[in-house]
Amino acid sequence: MCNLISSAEIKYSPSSSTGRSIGIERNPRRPTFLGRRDFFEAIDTVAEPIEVNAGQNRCRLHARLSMPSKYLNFFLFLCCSSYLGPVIALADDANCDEFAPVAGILKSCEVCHGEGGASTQQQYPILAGQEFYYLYVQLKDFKSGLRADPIMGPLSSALDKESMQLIAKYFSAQEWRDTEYMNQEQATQTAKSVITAGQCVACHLGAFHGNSRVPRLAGQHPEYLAKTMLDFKSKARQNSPAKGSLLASFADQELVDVAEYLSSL
Amino acid sequence: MSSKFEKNLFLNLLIATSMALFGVSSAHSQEVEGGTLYGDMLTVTQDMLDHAAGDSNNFLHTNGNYKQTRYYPGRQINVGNVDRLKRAWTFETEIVESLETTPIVVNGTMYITTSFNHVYALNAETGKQIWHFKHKMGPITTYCCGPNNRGVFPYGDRLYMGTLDAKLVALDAKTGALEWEVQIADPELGYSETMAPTAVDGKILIGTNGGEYGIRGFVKAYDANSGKLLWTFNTTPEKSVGVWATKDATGRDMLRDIKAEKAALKKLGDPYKTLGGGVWQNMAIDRDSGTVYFVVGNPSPDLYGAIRPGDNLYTNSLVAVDLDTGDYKCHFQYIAHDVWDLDAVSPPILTTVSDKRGNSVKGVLHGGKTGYVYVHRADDCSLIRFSEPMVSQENRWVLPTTTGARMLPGANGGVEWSPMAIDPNLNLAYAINLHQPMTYHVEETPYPGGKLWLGGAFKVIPSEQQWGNITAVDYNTGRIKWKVKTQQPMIGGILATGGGLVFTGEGNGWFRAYDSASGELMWQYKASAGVNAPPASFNVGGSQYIVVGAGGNVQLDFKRGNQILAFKLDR
Repeated sequence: MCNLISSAEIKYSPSSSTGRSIGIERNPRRPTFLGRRDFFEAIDTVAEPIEVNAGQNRCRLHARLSMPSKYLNFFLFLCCSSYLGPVIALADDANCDEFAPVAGILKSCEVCHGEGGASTQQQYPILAGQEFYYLYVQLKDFKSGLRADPIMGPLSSALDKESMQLIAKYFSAQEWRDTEYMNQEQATQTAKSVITAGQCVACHLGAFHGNSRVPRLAGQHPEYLAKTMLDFKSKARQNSPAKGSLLASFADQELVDVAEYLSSL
Repeated sequence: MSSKFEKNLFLNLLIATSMALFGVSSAHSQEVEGGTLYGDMLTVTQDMLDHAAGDSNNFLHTNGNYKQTRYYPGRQINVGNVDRLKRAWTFETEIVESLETTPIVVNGTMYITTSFNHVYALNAETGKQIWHFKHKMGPITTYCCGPNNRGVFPYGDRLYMGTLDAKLVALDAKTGALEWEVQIADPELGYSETMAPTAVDGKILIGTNGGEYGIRGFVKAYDANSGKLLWTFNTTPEKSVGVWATKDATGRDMLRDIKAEKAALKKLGDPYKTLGGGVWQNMAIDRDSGTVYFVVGNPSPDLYGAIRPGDNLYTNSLVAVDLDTGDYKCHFQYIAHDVWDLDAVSPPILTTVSDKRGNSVKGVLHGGKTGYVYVHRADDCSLIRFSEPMVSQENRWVLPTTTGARMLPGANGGVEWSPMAIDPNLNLAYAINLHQPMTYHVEETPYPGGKLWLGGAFKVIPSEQQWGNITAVDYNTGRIKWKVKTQQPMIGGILATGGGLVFTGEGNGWFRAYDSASGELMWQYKASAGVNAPPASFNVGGSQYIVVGAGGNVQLDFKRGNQILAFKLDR
């Protein structure tokens, strides 16, 4: 399999000759969370998946796509027509063969979501380091129309289950990159009150890093987070009904404040 | 400590030391760190499990024994000396997240679990790690209220654990090596495991989480050796409609619109396939009658009842089934057609109780999320009495509205999953409570296919004060004997001991001992994180220890940590 491990450091703990402990250190300021880091072990049920050196085998799509915006729509059309995929250069890292079937699609994703999914544009969510299962479910929901989106709907319409899983796997294994976003103190106070009332931590966990089905919110772009919550509230987004019910009980500005706060974590 | 034990321990330590010196290592699974052989001392026999209630050396069951009394018989630590209780050791796990584990102790070896299904074996006397197992979590987990785990069950030479990705795993107790695992149910549909299993007569019994995701709940029995499924009891039968009950167990009207429900039933059919009914906690086993008692959680979706007409059997119920076959024996439903998530979670307790005529009968106790202790006859599940309310009952059962209706208890209940304890000498049941009002919001919501399915929302009210109680209830009268208020809502569990004490922890880090007869505060220790796990006790090396996890709680957002704390008397 492709040794796709982002920049997380893999350590071997001293142990017995046959037993081996695996630990991954991410941001040392944050507690260790599991789930995403082990997903590729489980999804492939490979007995010995961790045979990599730290940070040396990050899978990257090296073929850069440079495209004038006026051609973007045509590009997207090609993507969703499945025509472009085969002609886009595949990743040149031999270890990334696993992602070859979706390399073209991944390149199209990077047009908006940035290299490796580390979006720098406020309206497009950071995918790099997001939870695998969450990403996979979103692709399924885009395809089915449960999550309506004029761009992602058509883009995902031609994807099969395996492709969606590969795409989700690729982005989830990338390193989350901090945006170093700073928010206002007043927003923090409001946000904490909303978070307490909504018991948000019960699902998104204490550091808002999410797990599996539940997305990471910490450090996500505030504009995207605010839009997402407001879309849930207005029912423009319907693929998580419980979220819609909860967010409908808060004022718009409260949700904007929550977005600001979460982005700063 | 017996001389036999000392001799065996010496031999085992000698063997282990020799192996270490000569670089010999036993076979390990990939996930295991280190390993020490303890020979036959770690073998847990059925006889040991059957006599656990009187065994002060070990703590073999999640809730102390098959009756789940959480009454530890040892009295070395008692009301007269508990002020000399000092921290003996601290062990820090790799995972900083909710700790809900009950430490299991087998002849000087302790087994604990953490969130995300790590298991540690520790030297119970020193807290030193023996081995560490990390479950290879699948990519899909769907769980409510935190990535918790409540512990392992030791049986024979194995430990059994349920996992977040809905598996049952069997480990070699000596090394932590994975022996086998079976998939219990599909996590993509909302199934997960956080409870400890229960082992008895060659069977491993386990329920399921998922009442917030539209599962069909169950209790399953697996063969302890092979992992083969032996029987399944579905907690939502194909005829889940029931008797159209309009009043709850305390006689209060639940304001059901029976006419509308009957019309919905005609249109929608029986909702049993996605009706929820998780079983979150261990079952009590009556070894005499071969009966398994457990409580069943809420119907799905939690708040929107119009889509699930009927009583929604056997949600929110005490249920008894046959140990050998899983066949239904009896049930009692506390709340029919619940739309408040005030279900049944805290594990039931078997003990002798007074019936309505004052005769001693075999009884079952349950601490309901409603905030009452319910007392049943064990033979037919019928209700003998319910206690005085342990928490205020405000606006119960106001129906949820689109804009939110305030009610107390809130959706975390008056008693959450936290196990109760009893002192059979005092006829007292000890429960920990939450005073946490919420607003209940309802919204029409079709089944979302394995996603969170509440049919609305529960909201904490930040402007309102919250607190907790520790309450002692006389289960033969239903009267509250004593009650202690705490600064925060209580979650985690409680332990009663032969020393006349009860131990329980709080979200602010206090771990406290109270006089079990009077409620008087006798001792306290401040941990660095919330103490929201059930305590246990054991004796090794001639000393009684009290042990508890301090990892906080994700559900109530109490400060997280990663410590296992053990205490003994300072001599």
